[in-house]
Amino acid sequence: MLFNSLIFVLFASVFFAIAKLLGKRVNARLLWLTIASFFFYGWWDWRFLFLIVFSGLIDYFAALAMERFPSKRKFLLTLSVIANIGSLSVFKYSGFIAKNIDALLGLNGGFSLLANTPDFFLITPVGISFYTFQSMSYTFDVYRNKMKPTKGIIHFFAYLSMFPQLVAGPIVRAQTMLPQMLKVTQVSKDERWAGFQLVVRGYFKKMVIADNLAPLVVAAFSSPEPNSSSLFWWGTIIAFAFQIYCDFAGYSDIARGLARWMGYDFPDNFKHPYISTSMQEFWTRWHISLSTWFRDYLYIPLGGSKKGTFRTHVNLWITMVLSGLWHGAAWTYVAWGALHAFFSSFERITHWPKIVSKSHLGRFVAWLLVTMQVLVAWVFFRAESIEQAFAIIKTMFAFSGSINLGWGLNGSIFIGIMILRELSVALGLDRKFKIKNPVWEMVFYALIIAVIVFFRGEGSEFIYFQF
Amino acid sequence: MLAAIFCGLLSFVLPKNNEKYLSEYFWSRKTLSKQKYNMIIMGDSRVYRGVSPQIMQKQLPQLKILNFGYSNGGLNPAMFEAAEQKLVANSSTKIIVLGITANSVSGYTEKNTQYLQELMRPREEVIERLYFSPVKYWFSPVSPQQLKLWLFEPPPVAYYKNEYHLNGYVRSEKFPADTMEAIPSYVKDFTNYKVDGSKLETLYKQVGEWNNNGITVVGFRPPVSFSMRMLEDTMGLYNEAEIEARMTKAGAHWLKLDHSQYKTYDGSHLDEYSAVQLSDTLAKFIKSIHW
Repeated sequence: MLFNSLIFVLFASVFFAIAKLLGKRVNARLLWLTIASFFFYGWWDWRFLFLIVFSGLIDYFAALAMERFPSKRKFLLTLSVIANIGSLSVFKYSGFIAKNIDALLGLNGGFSLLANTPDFFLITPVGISFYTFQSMSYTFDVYRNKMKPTKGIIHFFAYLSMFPQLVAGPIVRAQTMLPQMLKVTQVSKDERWAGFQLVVRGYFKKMVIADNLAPLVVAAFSSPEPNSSSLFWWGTIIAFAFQIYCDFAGYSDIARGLARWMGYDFPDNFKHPYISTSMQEFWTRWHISLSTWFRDYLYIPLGGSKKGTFRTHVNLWITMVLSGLWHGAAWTYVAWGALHAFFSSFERITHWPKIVSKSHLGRFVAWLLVTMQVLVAWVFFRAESIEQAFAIIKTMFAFSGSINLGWGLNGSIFIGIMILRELSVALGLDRKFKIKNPVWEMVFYALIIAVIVFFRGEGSEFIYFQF
Repeated sequence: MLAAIFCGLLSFVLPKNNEKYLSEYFWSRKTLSKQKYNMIIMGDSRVYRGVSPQIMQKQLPQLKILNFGYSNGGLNPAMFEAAEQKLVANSSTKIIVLGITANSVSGYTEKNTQYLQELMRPREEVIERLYFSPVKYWFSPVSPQQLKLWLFEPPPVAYYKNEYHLNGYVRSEKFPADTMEAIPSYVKDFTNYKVDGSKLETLYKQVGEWNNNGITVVGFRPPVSFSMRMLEDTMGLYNEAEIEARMTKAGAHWLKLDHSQYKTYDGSHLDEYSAVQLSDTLAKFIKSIHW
């Protein structure tokens, strides 16, 4: 079920109305949350509900068994990791693996592994990477004694399947979520208003900015005769950078707003990533719940930066490349991760952002260089193939062709809004000019709703659903 | 409340996109409706723009008729099955009308792209299209570009209007008409795809089966411009005489049409007047063979 559909509006209305009736009964509320979340997910394809149940049951029982049989903790953790990564591999990567084995062994002519892979395994269940990682984080945290396993199976499944973040995050940790969920709180008026603001801002980002930029990006990337203008491709990649940001940050904001209405607090997933002046800073602002997941459950266990310079870089590369692969089963995602690893490694070796950012002009130069790196990496993320990505990058750096960004009036307005917004954050103007009068604030949000209704783009799925 | 007031006021002022929502409703309903009919008319856009069940019903008032044509609609087993399911099961009058174009029996249409797109559409989208289209119409979105045109530019002289009928027919009107307009795209299609003999064999076999099962089958070649017909015959390898002979042999009734009596607006699709004429001719022909 899509957040930007009328059906979801109906679903959410019924959910919150019944949740209110359940009052302070924690178990009833969590049971209702679980049922509603399963319905929300099953609406897309009920057959894949068994994967959430499977993943969840493994981790729920593994965590309980860790407490009961401390000597078998490592074995139980391994079992959980194998089961989770196994189901992820089968349902997300089997087509990719089979295709590459076919190519490697030259199997395309006769027997083909891909052709013999059951169709069911070639459908990627919506949000599989999100809930698998969320489920795994629970077992990891119990293993590391960061939390006690929960005894209530409903509590666990309410945490795992919570519909606001089930299919596209943010990936929330059990150690912060479960205590919140077990505490009965009355949602205050202020919290409801804060939730409302988040929801409206989220819909604005998704439906007005991302959905209006999507046709521009799709047309550029799917054109049979690629444009040969450098400026056009820079313009297209800037449009895509804002599209993917608003698409995903929009979803996160809606999820956080809905959680607020339930009385829960999800962590912030995006903090204006495009104002970063170093790659390190970018990764503290972009998809924070995923980058911290990889940091805590992969980079640090691998040794992080504590085992010498060489190992630090190796660990960084492993983390980044796997984070690329997490996004999708294609070499373009691997290349995206590798490129980020390369830029980050280079930054660690040279410390160039620190050297450059000593003045206002220096900070601007650092921002420009980081932005260019991020944009070049986005080409790989969005391209249909590695060949297309290289062809686009070659055109971008040829600095030739017509002087046209390819935005048109629509693109210019929506990209302009985003540039002004990010600029105001970078210069601190957003705080200075924040609307403080509650009446004007209400008028402002009412106007934003009207803009969403009348300037919404062609409705399309959230990009991160496919991950 | 304030937002509702703003939206309400703006909905009276801003332009609306009537055609978009009507077409969304039209295609979802055509594909997913469980309603049953006595007569199903199959084919591609020439069929859904060229045959009006409403006009046919003037001759055949006792029949429920659906135009089941799709853009790039193929005549292949998947579509045969879908059409059969739309027929009333226990009726003595069951008729399938086939508008056979070169593209509909070539590899070009074998994927049934539009039909499958409608069939596989996410459930929430279908619900919105079927039940919320008046709301979506009332709050039609506008882009800044559209707003600029609406506010500052005079309405364009050229137009292309589509009127969606619930019986599956789309009344089409284009100004100015250009009977050569569609030719280049068909040249491109026929460079890659031609009439496929195996697809025709499948069609004849299906016609035979329908005939044995008591379903009356009627075939015709949708009228097009002279240039288009020549192009289909030469580049697309469409052999009307052979198709007519094989269809008749399989048990179908073939309606031979004088293409010079019909006018198209782009060389491929009939204008409104010719669509009425074709529908009437087709209905009279069916009346003559069935009653």
